Amino acid sequence: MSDEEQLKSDAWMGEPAWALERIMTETGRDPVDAERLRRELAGVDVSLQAQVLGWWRGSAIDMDREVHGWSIRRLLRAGHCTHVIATFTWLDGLLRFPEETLQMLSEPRCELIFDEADRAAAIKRKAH
Amino acid sequence: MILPVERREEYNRLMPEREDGGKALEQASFSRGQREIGQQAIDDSRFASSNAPDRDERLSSPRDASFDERIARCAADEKSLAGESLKKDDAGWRVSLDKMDPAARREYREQLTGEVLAKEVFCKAGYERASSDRLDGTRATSWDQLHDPEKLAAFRDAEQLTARIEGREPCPITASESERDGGFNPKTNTIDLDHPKTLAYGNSEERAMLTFFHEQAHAKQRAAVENPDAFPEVSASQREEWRENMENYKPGGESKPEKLEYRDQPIERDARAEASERLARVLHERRRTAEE
Repeated sequence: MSDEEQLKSDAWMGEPAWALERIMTETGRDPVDAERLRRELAGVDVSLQAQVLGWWRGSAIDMDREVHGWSIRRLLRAGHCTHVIATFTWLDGLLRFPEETLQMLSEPRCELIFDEADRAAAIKRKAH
Repeated sequence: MILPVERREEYNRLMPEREDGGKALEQASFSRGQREIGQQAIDDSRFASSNAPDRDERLSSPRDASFDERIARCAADEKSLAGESLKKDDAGWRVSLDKMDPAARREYREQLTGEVLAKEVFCKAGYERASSDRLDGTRATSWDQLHDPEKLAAFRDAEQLTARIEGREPCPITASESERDGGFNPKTNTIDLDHPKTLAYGNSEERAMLTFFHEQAHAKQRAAVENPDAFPEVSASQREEWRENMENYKPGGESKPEKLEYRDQPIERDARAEASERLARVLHERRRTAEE
């Protein structure tokens, strides 16, 4: 079975329940978000499938392979992702919709803050 | 450091208790500039947590009438685009604002904000004002020459001026270290800027301004939702859309599809557009002023 067939078969991550459990454990997502990420990974561009499978199986992956100047390492260093698994969705975006994705990666990250403790902790981090 | 009891007593007698837990002592080996920034960071965190008055609050006190004067001076400038409509009836900027229809009022406010920020804050005079507390007498003439706390002071100054023009409460601005570039807390009406990504040396002024304007746009959205009468240019449907979105806000996740969802929310979409527009106006005004 080719990489593409394996990814499409839904069986490449092993038992769905086990795959979900692994994504939830590794990324701290809830079941709904974890399932969505699993589907996103299954739909990545053909040229990325070997990378995704390699990472899933624990093989070495090329951290510096660039798509429009962005690699897994750069995405992690720039703080866009904290986990390798999410970088595949950005590399996929760079392959399919380069203009939109590059624009998104260049924008400042601004969010509403609802948890005051979160802001207080960030201020403390800065002070120290 | 672990000391025997008798040595500890002697140590305590010789070393007076420090409120900052010895932080200032730790900083003693820093260069002067580093020490000032470090101490300011501590001061800022105290300010944020206790709202105790400090140097930056004094710089931008809401009770200071000079903010109104500075805005009026910009509006009355002969070459001011925003001031054009004022000259006809020779009235103050507040009075004229009340007479305008909602669309003209929005345009006027935005134009005036662009002019005021370009002439009062993000310019040579503004950088000199922000660095006027320096003990060595030097003054910054460009953004890159400002120390980090001075950049924060400049943003606080900008927020005071903008909030007056927009007719809303000015937001306290804090600096922190987080994964985001900037944030706005609608519950506390506070803007938070990430120190390493916006205030630290080497960051682009335009990107820092864009982040700041984005958070200001959220502050305006909140004010429009809470006080509709002060923002007639915001339609009832738009206000309702913002209110609903604030109650069901989706924070940006790590994957691209999650980020897309976050970006497409009404308040984020509108804040992005407004921040870009404001940045363009400030840069345009700055170029225009420089050419004159």
